[in-house]
Amino acid sequence: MGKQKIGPGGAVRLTIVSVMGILVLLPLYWMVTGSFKVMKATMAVPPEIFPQNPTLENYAFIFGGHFPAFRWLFNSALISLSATFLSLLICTMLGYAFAKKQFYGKNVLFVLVLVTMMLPRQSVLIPLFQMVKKLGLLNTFVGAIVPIIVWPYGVFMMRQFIAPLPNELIESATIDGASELRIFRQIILPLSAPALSALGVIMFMNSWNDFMWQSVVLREVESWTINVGVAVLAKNTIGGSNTINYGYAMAGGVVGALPVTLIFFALQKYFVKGLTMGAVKG
Amino acid sequence: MKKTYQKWLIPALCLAMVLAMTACGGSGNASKTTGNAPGGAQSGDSGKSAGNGEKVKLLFAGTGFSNIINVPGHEDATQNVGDYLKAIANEFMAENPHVEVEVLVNNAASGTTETLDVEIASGNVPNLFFSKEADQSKYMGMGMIQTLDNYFTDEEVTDYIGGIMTNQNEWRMPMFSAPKLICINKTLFENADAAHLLPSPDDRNWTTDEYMNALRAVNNPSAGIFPTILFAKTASAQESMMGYLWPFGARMFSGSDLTKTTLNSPETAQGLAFVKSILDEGLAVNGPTALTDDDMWAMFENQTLAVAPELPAFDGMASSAGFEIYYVNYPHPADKGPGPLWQFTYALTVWKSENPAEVEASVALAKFMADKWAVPLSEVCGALPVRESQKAEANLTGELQAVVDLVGKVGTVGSGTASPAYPVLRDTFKDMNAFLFIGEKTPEEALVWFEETLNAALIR
Amino acid sequence: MQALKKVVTNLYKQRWAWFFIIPGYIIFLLFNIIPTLRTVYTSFFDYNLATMEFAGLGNYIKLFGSQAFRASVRNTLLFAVIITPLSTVVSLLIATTIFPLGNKAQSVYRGAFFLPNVIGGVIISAIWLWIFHPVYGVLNYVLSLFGVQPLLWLADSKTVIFSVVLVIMSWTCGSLIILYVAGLGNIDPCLMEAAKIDGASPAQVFFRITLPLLKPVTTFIVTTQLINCFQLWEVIYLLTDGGPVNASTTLAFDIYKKAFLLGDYGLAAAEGVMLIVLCALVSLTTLRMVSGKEEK
Repeated sequence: MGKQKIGPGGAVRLTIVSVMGILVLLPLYWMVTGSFKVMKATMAVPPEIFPQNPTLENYAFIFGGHFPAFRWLFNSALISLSATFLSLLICTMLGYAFAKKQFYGKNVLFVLVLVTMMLPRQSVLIPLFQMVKKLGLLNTFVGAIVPIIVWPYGVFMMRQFIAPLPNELIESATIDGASELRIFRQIILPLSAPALSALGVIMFMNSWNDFMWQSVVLREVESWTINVGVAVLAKNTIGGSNTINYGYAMAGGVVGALPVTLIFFALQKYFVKGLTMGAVKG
Repeated sequence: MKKTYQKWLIPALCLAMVLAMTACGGSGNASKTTGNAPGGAQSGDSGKSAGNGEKVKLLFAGTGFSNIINVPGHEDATQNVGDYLKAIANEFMAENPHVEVEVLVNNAASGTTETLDVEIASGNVPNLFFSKEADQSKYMGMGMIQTLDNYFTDEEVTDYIGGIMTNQNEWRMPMFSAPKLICINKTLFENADAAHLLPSPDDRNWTTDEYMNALRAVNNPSAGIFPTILFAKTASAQESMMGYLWPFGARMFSGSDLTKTTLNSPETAQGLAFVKSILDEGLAVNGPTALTDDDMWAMFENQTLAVAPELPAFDGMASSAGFEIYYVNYPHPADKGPGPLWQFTYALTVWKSENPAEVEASVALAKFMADKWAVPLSEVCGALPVRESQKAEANLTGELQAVVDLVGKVGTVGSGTASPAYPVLRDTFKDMNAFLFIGEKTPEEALVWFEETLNAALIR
Repeated sequence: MQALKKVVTNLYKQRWAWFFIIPGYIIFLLFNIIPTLRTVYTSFFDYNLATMEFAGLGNYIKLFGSQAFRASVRNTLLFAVIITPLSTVVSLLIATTIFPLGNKAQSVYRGAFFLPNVIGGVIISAIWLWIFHPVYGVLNYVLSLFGVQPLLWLADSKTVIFSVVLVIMSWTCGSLIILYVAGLGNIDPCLMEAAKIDGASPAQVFFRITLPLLKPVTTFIVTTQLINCFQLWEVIYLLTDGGPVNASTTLAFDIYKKAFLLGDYGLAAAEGVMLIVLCALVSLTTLRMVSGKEEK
């Protein structure tokens, strides 16, 4: 299928877009090169476009033993994977019910979910914390995971995706004597695979980067996630000064960003496919 | 048919939610000591049990300052941020087996008492809180802090230098303090052949003209060396900026009346004009509204900053970075004498509790910390002891000894840290500086704005 | 009695629906709904952690008198009004430019633009903080190579909004581009062929056919970006701390400040309520505007 050229001056526009693409990547370049600079080099005037004396010192500092950096990475992975898995399960269950089932107050309950989609976390930070504390979930991974798994947008997305699925499939399965769980597991889930993979990638990213909530809930240094640890680390240098060491901050940034970047690249295809499902099908 | 269901469904839902909400909404009110979740006491709650023979449980909260690590004499136990609190707790518990101390570290990286606030909001109120004084007045204002009048003998009180501890309504126990003053990288001045422009070692005072001359002499843009720095991005360390105003006669409050600020005066306006002139002449790092005290530390360590208004905490940095540090007073106008210094005090507060045994134990822990840890902590913070009896113990280096002498000579001034609205005060002061630095207001206008805004907040 | 029986029978018939709904909905209630209700509840009280006194509308009155609040509303709306249309248009243009390319090339461009989005707000802000720095920021250095005077990016109230917009745009446009590319892929090429045969110019094809067919995507993008703009917190916190005297403070940031700096949780809750109301108003209005115009 030949792709149509849209709009005039294709080559010029492509050049401009390419330049913009490079520009957008420049901060990332700055982060990576910065992670190999000593603090003095990060403050060089004029700035070193390419590190003149690259060093692994910053990474050594992070993983060197004063901080449980590996533990932090593990915590991030644990929390993100659990949150992703649980979220996929719960959002699909809710989406399926809203899309295909009839029950009292379905519309009201669904609208309620939609309405909270735009709720900013800061508005409810204190009551949310109090709730978590009351349930005894403070300083636990459960407390970091559970409050984020029912993501209104995720519910919305799954519902939008499941709704157009042909009812005949479900009906014929019921007639054949399949149980509800069976239908869910063997019909709905496989058919929702594109949406699931997209939602999965998004949820993983969201929970990995969920700095604010994690820094509030996780108290012990041992239980921090990588992003929280790195943020504290950037301002905490051995030697007792208050200085902000951009070398540490950038190295920490690389460490915090790398896993989630790799996941994205591995799953880019699915992610793109599914992301568009929710939007394009409207 | 459907309509009927939906009609009562919504109110039923609302009722259920309201019920659920009020059931969960019981915490956060005036009952301060109950904090146990009905769902069972997890490790994380300090179950406050009274009773004979049972352990007294204390919650010891403190701020995890990033520079309090490797405390002399306790290096192994204080490797990480916040460890010092655990070390103190452990040592105290070893000596007092009937007390169990749980530690809560307030994360200093956020610059506020967020961690502690959220704890209190859930009903988990600490017994002790160690932090800088400015953090603690808020809780005094809430009525949560115990006055210590009956817990100190007269000898103990007079041991404190300069009468900073009294036996009337005393609510904080100072551990150590440090003045904000001018810290100079003497090596940079020597390199610029300008060291003779600095105050002499026995009289660390100078006039504003002398100060400006020194700044001009050390200014070296081509080598990337800035004379000094002003900052107004965050409220952090705004006392460094206030320091320029005290010698002009500016005062934040008069006496003990903390309901109206007295900063708006012709003297202060002159002081602000002086500060602005530093910026206008290009003698301070440009873009102060995007700079914080962290930048000051970074540049000072990088030796691209010659003069830093900060606590005398640079001995360690100076020796490892290889320059000579020199501490002097803020400059004073020629027609006035040297100005007083503002003291940054780290203090311990004991909080009210329904269980008198807890208060007793808390005071014991406070005194233990003051006796055994105040001096090593002050060393690591580059601060000065507050008790006569500890002066000898603190190995004050030459420069710090000079600082102590300077403080004794010029006296101290307050910036209102006893006011519960102190964080607002600092933030408003920062905003005033921002107006001044970006040129949106003249000093007089800025002060009027400051007075109006702050007074409105103080009334609350 | 009959009605009650009917209800019970229906509930039994619906039991599986409830099975799928209840676990998730309980969590939703506990961690989304109840805290929100509690925020609304708290907004009517003077709450400073120790005492909770009923204050009626007192917090709201105080809020409207607060300069920081007014600035927050202004800035939040400003960001929303600038960023949303701008990022929509820019993403669309970029998407239309890379769409005709082959699959490999397309995913390279997509990946490049989306990469910043994968990284969280904290890290992005830390990087830009360094880039914008008045002394050792690389941006001013690069400008100086072109002979341009150094700008006070975050330090000047006139440029701070622009700086924040720059950061947000470079950070979030990636996902929008992906959406538009997919949307373009969904358009039946026969439609465009037919239009061309009828003698329509490329511009006409674009505006009369492509754009209207992209309406669902556009609606979605506009809503998402609006929501993002209303939740701007991390970027403001790290980059500007509210900007030179509230020049860049947003509602989300001001709520945080009022709660943890002032310790006035009732006031912060009231502001939280105002933020929710504002979000709802703007989203509804935009939705009506964008989907209201029906074309075929």
